[in-house]
Amino acid sequence: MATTTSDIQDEIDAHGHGAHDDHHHGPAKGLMRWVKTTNHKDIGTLYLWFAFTMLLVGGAMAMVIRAELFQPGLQFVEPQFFNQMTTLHGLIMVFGAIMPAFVGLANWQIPLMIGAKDMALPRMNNWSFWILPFAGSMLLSTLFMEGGGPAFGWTFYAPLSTTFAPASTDFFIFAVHMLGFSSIMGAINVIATIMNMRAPDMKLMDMPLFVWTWLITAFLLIAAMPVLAGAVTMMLTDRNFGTSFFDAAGGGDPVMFQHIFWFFGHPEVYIMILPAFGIVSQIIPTFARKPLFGYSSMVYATASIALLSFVVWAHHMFLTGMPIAGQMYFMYATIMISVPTGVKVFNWVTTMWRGSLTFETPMKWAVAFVILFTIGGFSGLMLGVAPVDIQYHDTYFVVAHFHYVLVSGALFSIIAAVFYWLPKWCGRMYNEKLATIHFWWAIISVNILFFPQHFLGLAGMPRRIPDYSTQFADFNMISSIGGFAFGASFLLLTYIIVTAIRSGEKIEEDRVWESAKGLEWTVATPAPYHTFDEPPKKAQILSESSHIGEH
Amino acid sequence: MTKEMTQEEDRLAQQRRGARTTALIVGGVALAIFLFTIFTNLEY
Ligand code: HEM
Ligand SMILES: [Cu+2]
Repeated sequence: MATTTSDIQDEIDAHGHGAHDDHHHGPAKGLMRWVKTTNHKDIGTLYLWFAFTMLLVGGAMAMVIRAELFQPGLQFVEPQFFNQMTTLHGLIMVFGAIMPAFVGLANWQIPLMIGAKDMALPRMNNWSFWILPFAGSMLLSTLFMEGGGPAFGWTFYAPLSTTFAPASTDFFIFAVHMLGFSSIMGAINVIATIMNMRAPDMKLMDMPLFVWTWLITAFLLIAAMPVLAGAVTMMLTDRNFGTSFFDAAGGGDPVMFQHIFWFFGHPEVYIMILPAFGIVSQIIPTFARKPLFGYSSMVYATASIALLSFVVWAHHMFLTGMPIAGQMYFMYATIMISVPTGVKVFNWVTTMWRGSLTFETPMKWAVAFVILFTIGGFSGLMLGVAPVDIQYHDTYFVVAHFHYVLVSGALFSIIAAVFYWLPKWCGRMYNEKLATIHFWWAIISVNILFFPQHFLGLAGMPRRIPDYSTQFADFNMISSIGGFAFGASFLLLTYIIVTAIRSGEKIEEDRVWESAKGLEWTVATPAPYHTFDEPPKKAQILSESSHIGEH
Repeated sequence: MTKEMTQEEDRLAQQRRGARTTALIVGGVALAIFLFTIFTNLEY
């Protein structure tokens, strides 16, 4: 974004006449458009580019990790630096890439899908975004501080993160506070928007599933993020102000940290997957040319998953020495989540059943999601079995599990969503041929990367180590080769997206995909800066509902 | 101003009030959860 001082001066001039009547001209020019914007489409764009940048940064760290693990022995980095890489890779991907990408999609799509002019609290929306670059830079800056960055894993268990942590940890805490604040404000905005700004004739059960899943995700965020904020606040006072929340020597309890962290942490993993469920539920009906099977069961399944996600946290802690009754409870509660999850997978498959399927790029990614996410769900089920988790815990099996659900789950759904909605956003089509090459490249390499990690875990290779015994050499080498190939696929993805935005074939139709349903396809292409000045009418809302079969 | 216009304005004003109330309630719940997390552990 090249900006000159004269652009900024123009901006000041343009707004000299007062901040309130900027409603009916288009976007302002230059850098200030982005700094001061309260437009949901601009803010969505900012979130998405931020997330993409963080994805590349976190991806570079993953390349360091896979390079070090290419062979047994220490080759490239010091063990201490390796630990900083695994820690920051996890934190950046979770808080910098996946979550902001979903918020970006929410910003773009929720107002368009419910027939609203904008988000309910546009200025707060601006704040929620602009906190992120500062929080992200602060987190990354810890790498350059004396003593290095945080090296205690993305789960930052005490006392590793309190008594034995580097000085930079206080900056890490501040960054997490800011990231949490941003997420909470974003969630407040999503809830206020969906509750208050819907077209007057749109009932809750008329809402598209992406909106539903985001509404439920926002409630998860409201319940979970303050717990994370509490955890890091207690770390902060333990480190600096003489409390001993997590210090056994002072009467505190380090295991309590794990309970608090996972009370946040398990809902957090669903925060990263529920919007993905919503995306896939939008895309599959479009390319199967059938209404979504079981709309209302999808809504109830999402709500059940969200509620259950608060009562299973200790499946991450089977080895902390809890009573058998506790293990049994957390095991069965965890296994119960497969019921609503199974409902969803069943509904997606049934939507495709006997549909007139075509496999444009968004559909390819959506189908890949259904298959690969299910693999991750099954390994999760295995991990949820308490006696079995004693073997698997803290091995590469866990790493394989959560990468199947987060990379080939959450991330792939985001890629699907971008291919699905980018033509509407920009009025330009991506290159289908290149996108297909990219798809197969990524799908094959991601499986070469993560599937062997199941075998490594079953054979007992621990996670978070820079070196390993020689029996693990073959699978690690395969995994690293897949990793480098998967990493390289993002260069092609960047090229595809940038060329689509700049010079992709122009599209005229409002309904970019001929059988797509939803209010977002009723506005002009590319989506104008201001949409739905007038809320859409009942008949239109109903005819655009993707579950029209149920009306 | 026509009568319809005022109704529309009325609807928008109500919408804004609703959004603010929702935001305050939800934000308040978040704050309460934050404080609860810390204060239930304060015995240490
Ligand atoms: C289908 C239901 C699922 C079940 C039954 C399940 C079960 C589990 C269990 C028992 C563990 C702990 C393993 C251990 O540390 O020994 C675990 C770890 C993990 N799961 Fe899942 N999971 C499921 C779905 C998901 C989803 C959808 C996500 C995210 C999108 C996810 C993300 C994670 C992550 C990130 C970890 C590792 C946390 C760490 O760093 O220790 N899981 N899962
Ligand atoms: Cu969990």
